[in-house]
Amino acid sequence: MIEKIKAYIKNISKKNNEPKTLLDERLRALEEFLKRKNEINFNFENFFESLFIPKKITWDEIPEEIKNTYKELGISNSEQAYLSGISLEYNENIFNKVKEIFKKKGLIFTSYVEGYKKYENIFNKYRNKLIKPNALSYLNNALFNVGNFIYVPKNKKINIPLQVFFLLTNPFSHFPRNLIILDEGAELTYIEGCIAPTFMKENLHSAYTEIYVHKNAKFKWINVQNWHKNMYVLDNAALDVENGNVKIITINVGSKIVKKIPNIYLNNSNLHINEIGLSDKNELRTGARIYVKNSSNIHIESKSLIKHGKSVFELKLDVNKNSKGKAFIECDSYMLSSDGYSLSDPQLKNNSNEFFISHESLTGDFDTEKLEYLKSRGIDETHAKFLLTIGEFDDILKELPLDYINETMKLIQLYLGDNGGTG
Amino acid sequence: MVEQDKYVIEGNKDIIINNSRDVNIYLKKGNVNIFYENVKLNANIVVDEGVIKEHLRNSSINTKIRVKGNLKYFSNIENSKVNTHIWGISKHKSINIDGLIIGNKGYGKLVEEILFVNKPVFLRPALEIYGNNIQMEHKAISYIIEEKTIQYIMSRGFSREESVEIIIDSFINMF
Repeated sequence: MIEKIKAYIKNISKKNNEPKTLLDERLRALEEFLKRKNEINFNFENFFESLFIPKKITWDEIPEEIKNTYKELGISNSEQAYLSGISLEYNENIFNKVKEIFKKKGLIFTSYVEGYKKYENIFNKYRNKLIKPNALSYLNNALFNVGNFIYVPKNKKINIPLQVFFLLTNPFSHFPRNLIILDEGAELTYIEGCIAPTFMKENLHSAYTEIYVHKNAKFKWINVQNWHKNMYVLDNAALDVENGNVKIITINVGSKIVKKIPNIYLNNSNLHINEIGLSDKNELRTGARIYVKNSSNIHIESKSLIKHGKSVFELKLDVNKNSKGKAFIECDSYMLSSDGYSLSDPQLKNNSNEFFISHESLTGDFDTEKLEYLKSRGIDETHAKFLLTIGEFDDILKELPLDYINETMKLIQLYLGDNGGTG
Repeated sequence: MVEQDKYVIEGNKDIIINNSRDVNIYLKKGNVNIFYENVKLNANIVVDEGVIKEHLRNSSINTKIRVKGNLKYFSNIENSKVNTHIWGISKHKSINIDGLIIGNKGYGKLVEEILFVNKPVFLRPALEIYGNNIQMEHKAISYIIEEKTIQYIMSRGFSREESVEIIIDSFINMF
């Protein structure tokens, strides 16, 4: 099996025309991963086997619930087939046409491997510096097949949002590897959408994202992920922000397990995180690990709906001595079923007498008084819940681009309905 | 006058409470297990260092805990209501509060409030919830003494040290 995986890696490397150093690094990372794979509770044997059995799916094999969801979303038949993974076979990043415009502004926007080949100086300075090596990072290093390298030069403001969509269409997993750098005074809005429309057993998505934001730079990262229920999403991400501003908006829908807890290092910076999670028969682990090296301001708002699932909000905040600033954290979750589970686990460590921390959280069912009031106005229960949810999520939703707001609202409506949410 | 039960604890102790008299506990060092059954009362606890485990069945408890060092607080609620308020001042010693409420039916509230004077603070107000028959909330605040507040009190003729003491006193008076 190991030999087969090595051959597979060599094949990817050859296809990308990678230098030998990168191939050696991939093989070394595989060795390291094999030593540590027991750290993660995941059946890698099945997963590796699935790498070598690309299987074409037929329309009949698609679960009925997915077909119903497509119908309710009003998607045409041909589009349904496309989304179900029948009509696409390869993994690829779909780059936007605006790439040309970005080029004029001096923005470097290319695939990770191209970046490695062409911009060695930048790569040597920033690559693999932020994320502490772990089993998943080694696995990603060995098998990464998609990903972006983005570099925004000094004082360049990119007004058009940069939109990347990862489509997983082969019946195995994918490993995006991203490196994003905003130089001094730069501005960028980066929208990342991920979707996995095929239905193999236990697919794995494991991204590795390193982001650097320099002095006076502004970075807005919108991440919308909508997965099928067989998907394991185990991401590694880290941000290093020095005198910068960062806003992160994340929407997580579907999947079997989502684990997304980025490491964020703040130095004289502002951080704003907004999260929405819909958990339906799955496990959602979100939050962040934030290390405040120096004076910073933090605002975090996390909202989740839990139906027959698990939701865990983990937040670690570690404030260094002599830091000034404020942190406001709010995480609310709504339990919609009697078999749901929620853990809200903030761990706040303050070493500075000039840093104010406030954390609030609320968990429970919808307010019955509000629900009854809406029902007394002739609104049925599902729609009443939908209205209350939208009211709660409003602040986060308005941060999204218009088409994402529509999609998210439709997904929430579906989620609250009988079908339940699905990717 | 409301009848009160008093305990001073050093070491490990189990307390079973089945009458609705208020409870006062001073935990010097050690572990204390408190079992409440069919009662409604207020519990006032002062902790130097230790572990407090509350087990509630068909009860309604307001717990107020003054913490002076490390505290591990755990509450398990069954068809009950718990409203726990933990507070302290990090002047002479660092304060670590590791709190957790677990429940499947009822209501739980966990508030942790610390005035940061000059020693590090760690707050963990965790909530673990099973099902939708329960409502829980938590709040954790690490207050600071702002320079402008000190300056204001000093402008009324107090020294810097006295001003800080006045702010600490006013914080204590909140509880």
